[in-house]
Amino acid sequence: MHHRFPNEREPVIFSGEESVEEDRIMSTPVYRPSIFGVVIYTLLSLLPLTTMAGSDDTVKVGLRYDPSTANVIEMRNGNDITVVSLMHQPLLAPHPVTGDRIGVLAKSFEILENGKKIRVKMYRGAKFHTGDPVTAHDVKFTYEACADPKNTNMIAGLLDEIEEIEVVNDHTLIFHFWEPYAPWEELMWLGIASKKYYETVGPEKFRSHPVGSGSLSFVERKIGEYVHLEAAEGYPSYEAEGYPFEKISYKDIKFITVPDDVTRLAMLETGELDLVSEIMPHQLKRLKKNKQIHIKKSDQVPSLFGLAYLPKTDPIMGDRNLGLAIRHGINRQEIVDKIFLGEGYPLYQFLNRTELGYDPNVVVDFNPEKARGFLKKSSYKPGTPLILTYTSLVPNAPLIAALIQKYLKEIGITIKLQQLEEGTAIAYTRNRDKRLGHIRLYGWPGNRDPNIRILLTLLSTAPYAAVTDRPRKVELDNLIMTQAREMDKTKREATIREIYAITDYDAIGTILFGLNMIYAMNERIDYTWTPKEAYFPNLHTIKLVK
Amino acid sequence: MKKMSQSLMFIGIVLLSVVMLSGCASTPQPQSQPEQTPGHYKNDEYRFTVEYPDNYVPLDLKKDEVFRAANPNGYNIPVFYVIVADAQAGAALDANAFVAAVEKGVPGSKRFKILSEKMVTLNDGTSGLALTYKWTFSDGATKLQTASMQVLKDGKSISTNATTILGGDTTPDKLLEMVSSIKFF
Repeated sequence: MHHRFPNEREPVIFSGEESVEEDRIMSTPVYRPSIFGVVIYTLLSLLPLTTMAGSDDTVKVGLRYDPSTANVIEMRNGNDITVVSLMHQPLLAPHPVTGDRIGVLAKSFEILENGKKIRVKMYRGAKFHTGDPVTAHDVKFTYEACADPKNTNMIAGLLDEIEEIEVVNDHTLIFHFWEPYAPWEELMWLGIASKKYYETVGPEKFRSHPVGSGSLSFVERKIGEYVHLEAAEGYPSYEAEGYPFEKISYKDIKFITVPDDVTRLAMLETGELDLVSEIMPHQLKRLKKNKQIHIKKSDQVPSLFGLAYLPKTDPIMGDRNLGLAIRHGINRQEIVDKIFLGEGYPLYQFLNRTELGYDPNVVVDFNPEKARGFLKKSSYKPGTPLILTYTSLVPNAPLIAALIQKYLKEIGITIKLQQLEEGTAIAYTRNRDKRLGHIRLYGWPGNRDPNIRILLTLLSTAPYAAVTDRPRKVELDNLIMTQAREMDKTKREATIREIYAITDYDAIGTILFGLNMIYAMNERIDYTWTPKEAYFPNLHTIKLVK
Repeated sequence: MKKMSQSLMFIGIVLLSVVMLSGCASTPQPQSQPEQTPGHYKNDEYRFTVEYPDNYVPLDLKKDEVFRAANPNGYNIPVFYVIVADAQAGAALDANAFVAAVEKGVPGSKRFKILSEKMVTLNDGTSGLALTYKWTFSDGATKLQTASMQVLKDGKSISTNATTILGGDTTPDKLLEMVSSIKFF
């Protein structure tokens, strides 16, 4: 019995070479500004710059999506992290220059019982904006509140690696893990809230006026409009070894929600915004003409796009020679250059540049002749159509899919393109429904650590594993579970590379590229994106230069 | 790139959540279900009804299930399911025993932690055990929360259950409300 989802529609299957496809590609919202945006832009352009600039020592950051909360205990999405991380200090924070995790509240970590426990000693001297000291009790309170399902915090699942937290004294605590957890540092970035304040004012007041110990304190949030923070008095109140605490160079900061891309960039040009991120490459041409706008890019932001092969649809997708033919038949650099105007880089392994295990020496050459050779050795019968599925989740997906179709046609593989709603594609994936097709174009969210992706996609028993019966399944599964528990980073990295060596050999899947993070600011300020971070990081380091 | 940031966390959460939710039953024995009024399930054999959100879609049944429906969001979460099984001799309403049975029914699942448990009296005077708990699916990465209401009646163990991911929008209280809708007639 098949139950149709409300948003489900019949899949669109087309050759990709017909004119109808061109129409579809060009009508995707990715490249097309809205009429609303154009009108707003025109109106804004007529206004004098000075009227839009606002206070000289206020920094205004444009966000596409409204932060769902300023309450660390109820975080729902990535934008929330941007705001909350300024108001709260964590145990570990990314160094603004290197991106490495550095102790901010944590002075030291001691791994006990082979990783089952981690003892944390905290710095003394950190203070909440209320004046109260930050203690181990606050850490325990914050972690437990964020893990409590009733608060629907997006990281509750991640925090469930922690079985319990033991407070030894005011500045020492022990995290007890269910099992040794190799990427434990990825749990230590949580901003700490004041237990005393929360218990005094209650959850409603805390939600409307949260208190932390970070570089900025909360002023006001207007849903759908902005979040306003101001430089915290007395910050920093202590020194942490290796972390560059600095006095904030601006008075306050406003996160202004501007959903429309064109409008957001127009506001940057008129001076109504100071800083904007996630700029698409095609928008750069116009921005570059404005000498008052400084554009920066980072190729060290988590980003990963690839093709998953689906042997459950057709066993031929498990054919190593076919897999290698596809790998060598795709010109990754050309995809980056033509579709993303060079604002990216080819990737060849199932991990992004910033992850543990990334090996820049692994390269898959674009070689159509070699690809044809592998194809000849494969069981693929020329003319047999393979369905390539894409969704709107991947930027410019129709263009990427069409290029891949062209490359593979040149080596003798017939590709039909299929566009699905993301929800439908996910349902098909979960159910291993053959309607998903032979190949799927996907993007993976940015992480510093590969553990979750490996567990969810490579473990043979995982719900989303595309491949459940590869030749070295048992060995691979054992390596996957080993890396998840290995507390020695060097050993773990070696294990992760063994995992990728197996998946590289099997050639069931192809990694394509990663994209640069492009951000821009007006000449009033200077800011540099922290490497390895996916969301606007370390905005307390913004410098007012004019 | 431009859609990444917002979708990243969403996808991260969702993929984290890819829920088997076949949970709480062992060997899958898919069966289709008879037509029901949306949002309302009535069991004439054991004479009870339950209420659930009327946009949920019915799913194939697993072992011992008499009803299963889920939010049609692509991930099918939360999922709501009713299990009727023979009660063991001397069985009593016990949260630890109930959770142990769930763990046994989902090989590889682990880290069960009871969040709340309460004895309640249902509309006909029958005692019920209402509990919420969190646990980890066998992949080691998918973290779940479940609310269950167990009733022992006429030699049967009847349980209403609602499961979703940890870190989603659904609170344990909402799940508990759903499973507590059971009424005998």
